[in-house]
Amino acid sequence: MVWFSVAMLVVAVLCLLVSYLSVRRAKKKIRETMDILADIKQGNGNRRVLCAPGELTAPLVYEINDIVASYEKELAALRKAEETNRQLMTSLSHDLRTPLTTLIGYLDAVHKGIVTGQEKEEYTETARRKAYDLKDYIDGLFDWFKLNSDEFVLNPQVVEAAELTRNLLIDWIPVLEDQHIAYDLDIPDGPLRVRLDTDVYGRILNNLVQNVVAHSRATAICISLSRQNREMELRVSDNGIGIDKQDLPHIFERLYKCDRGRSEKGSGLGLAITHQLVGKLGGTITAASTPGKGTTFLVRFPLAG
Amino acid sequence: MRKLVWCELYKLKRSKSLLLLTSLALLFPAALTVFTKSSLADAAGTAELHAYYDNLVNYTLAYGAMLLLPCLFGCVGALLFFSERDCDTFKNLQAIPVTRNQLIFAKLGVLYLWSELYALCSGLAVTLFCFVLEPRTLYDVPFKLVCFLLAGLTMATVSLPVVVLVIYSNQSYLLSLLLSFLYAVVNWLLLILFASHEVLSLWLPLLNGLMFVSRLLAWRKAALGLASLTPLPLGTYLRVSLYLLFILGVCILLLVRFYKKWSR
Amino acid sequence: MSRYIVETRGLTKQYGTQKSVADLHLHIAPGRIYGLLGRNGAGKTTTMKMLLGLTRPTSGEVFLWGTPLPGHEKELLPRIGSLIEAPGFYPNLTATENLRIFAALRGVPNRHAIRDALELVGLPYRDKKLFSQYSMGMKQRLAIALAVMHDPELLILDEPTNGLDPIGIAEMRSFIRRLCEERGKTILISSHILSEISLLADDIGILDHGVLLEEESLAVLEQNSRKHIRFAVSDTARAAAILEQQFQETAFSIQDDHILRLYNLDVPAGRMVTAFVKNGLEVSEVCTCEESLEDHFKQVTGGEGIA
Repeated sequence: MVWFSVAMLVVAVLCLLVSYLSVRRAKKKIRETMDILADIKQGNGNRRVLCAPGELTAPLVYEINDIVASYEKELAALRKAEETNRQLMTSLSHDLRTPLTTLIGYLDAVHKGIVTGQEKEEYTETARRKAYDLKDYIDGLFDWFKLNSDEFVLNPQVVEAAELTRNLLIDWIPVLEDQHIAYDLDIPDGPLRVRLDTDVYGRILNNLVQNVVAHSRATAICISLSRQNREMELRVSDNGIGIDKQDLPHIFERLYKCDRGRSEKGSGLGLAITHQLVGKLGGTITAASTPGKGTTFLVRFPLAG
Repeated sequence: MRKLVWCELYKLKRSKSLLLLTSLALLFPAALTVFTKSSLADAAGTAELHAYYDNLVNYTLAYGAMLLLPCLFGCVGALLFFSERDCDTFKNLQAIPVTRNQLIFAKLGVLYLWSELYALCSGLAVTLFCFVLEPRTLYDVPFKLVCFLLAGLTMATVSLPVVVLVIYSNQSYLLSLLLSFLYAVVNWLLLILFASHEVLSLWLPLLNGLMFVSRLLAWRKAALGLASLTPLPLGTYLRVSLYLLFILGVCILLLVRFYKKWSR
Repeated sequence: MSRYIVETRGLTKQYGTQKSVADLHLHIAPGRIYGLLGRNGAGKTTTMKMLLGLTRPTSGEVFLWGTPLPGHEKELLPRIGSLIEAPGFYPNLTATENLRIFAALRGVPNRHAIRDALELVGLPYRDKKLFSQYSMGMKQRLAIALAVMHDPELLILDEPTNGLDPIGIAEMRSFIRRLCEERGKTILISSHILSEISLLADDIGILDHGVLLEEESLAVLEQNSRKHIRFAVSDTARAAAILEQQFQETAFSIQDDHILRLYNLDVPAGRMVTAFVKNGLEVSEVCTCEESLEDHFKQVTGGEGIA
């Protein structure tokens, strides 16, 4: 009987000890969680409460993390929009400074009477041209940011791409002839039915041709349209100065200009916008180039139906 | 801590060497049964049958726990303590953070658990073999298993120095195995040389390791009216307990010290 | 709260008489990728180990989130994911089992953390394959999975592209970028390859023989390392018009009212200065900066450069 009582006593003490320890552990866990939650409350949405699977507080902690993570995701989207705006502001102040200051330089010279007569006329003309360039650049910049801020709305429909391409290229022929660029257009007669936004497609094609005319110093351009498996392929190639190997991976990045020494004008936005537009339409764009020999841009869109 | 011990056990999953080492628990029970089988034929009464079982249990305790356990203990120790060194996972643990001492205590816990498992296995094996030979030999099985468990505990403590030695030498598994074997044999030789010397035998690890177990068995037999009991002075029990605790303390200190050396 | 996620003050590690890391003042700002660039043996790994408390510094302090690391490991380290040196896992376990061990010890942020982490690096969940049968690339991926499993705020990755094939390297790069841009993680990454760092990092620290030679944002480094002639004049607008009109130079940028950079070195700079002065401009400084990024690294590391 005595042994029995002693055994019971031992068991009772053990039970007490175990429950005391588990309560203490739970309390410690809650205290740690509270500290972390305080940090999250301060705005650190990346913080997570960690808990081993199977622990007492695990379901609670996991639920908290889920909530924090989903809010953080929304905040991240907001921050991204904010970042886009900030970039716009920085771009405006940085990229516009050089052309604008130059423009002012010309106008100042005219205004202060440093140049006169024929030279004055030239200065005014240059200033006017620069003002237009600046406007083009700002238009491009806003296009680019509009594309990035998801305000851009597409209106895709199934169209006949060969016909569309031909119509778009007709406008370019006088320009090419004017610039003494030989052209070779290879557009098939057969139907190429592709789901496109016609405006956007037009801008893609125009940007690519414009790029050749403005920057490549090419004497010949070749534009062809063809069917490759289940895709439509638009190929724009020139025989111009080409793009250096180290520049090639970056040409679709915003504001990337291969070498400022070469390009007389241009924003560095054209190809970035083209790239974005192609992406919006579900296509791909790639570039291949041999410096000194020329550049080829390949745009692919999946065929409809 | 509980989680760390669980993780240590989880790491041993699919470890063939551990399975092999543990299965050696069956070695002595099997060998002893085979060699003593003939003596069972002469046994007539229940008392003699019981005596046969008692003998087997005693010999298994003596050989299995005294000779083989320290040897295997060193190997399992090497297996556990070198896993972080060989897998290069200590940095991962430290970055959690798990401190070195936490890890050492978790590993010690697993070592003791394994020792218990080993002892229990050999106890069960002896009982099973006897049951197969002659079911009537068995008596008082639960108590004997408790004795095996106690033997596992005390022998593990006595075998700790070999783990310290293995960690200190920081060698491959094969050398660790040899080292453990050496330790066990030296222990055994010491026992044979100095067992008759009263003062020295007080400090032989093997004797101290099995002291409680053998006394428990004797008590139980006396209580069942099967034998008489010669009382030992209380001081002896105290001395053995303190001796075991002393070994434990010193070994933990040394382990912490030596483990630090390579895990820095 | 501190402005920096990671800050070290005079961090030094000495092995014997040799200083592996000497008097390091590192500053890593939140939400940025910091590239630690240096040759093999420059002290990158030692630095990272000290940041994680894996190695005790000889002197100096480490602050994480503005809190000193020693004594606060338990609250600070779980907020970091790390990959130091070669991946280390238990060879007798599968990838999932390996991760399960670390998940149990550190805790995870949600129920599917292990599966998500493995999916993220492209390894199968609950696969039967043991770690010992993994290829080097798969081991590296698993190590990354371990580093991101608990959704940490700071990632410390020591040469994360080691052992990966070129496709794997490109994937890893975009993966790290995404972690930083979409999830707002702060990442410290080390490498001995300049191109890798310059493609990835926002800020760069150059480590050579244990000394931090330079700590600067990539944008500034790139800006400075472009070949150009720098003119400091009293009126940049006027100077710009002169450059265009008289020298047909258009490749320039205007920094502010007084600094103009001309990105063409084959120009008669002397005649330009004369023209500026004739037009009533004051020219206070003209200098040629002719370093590429690589030249710059060669220069700061004092010689051979970084492969």
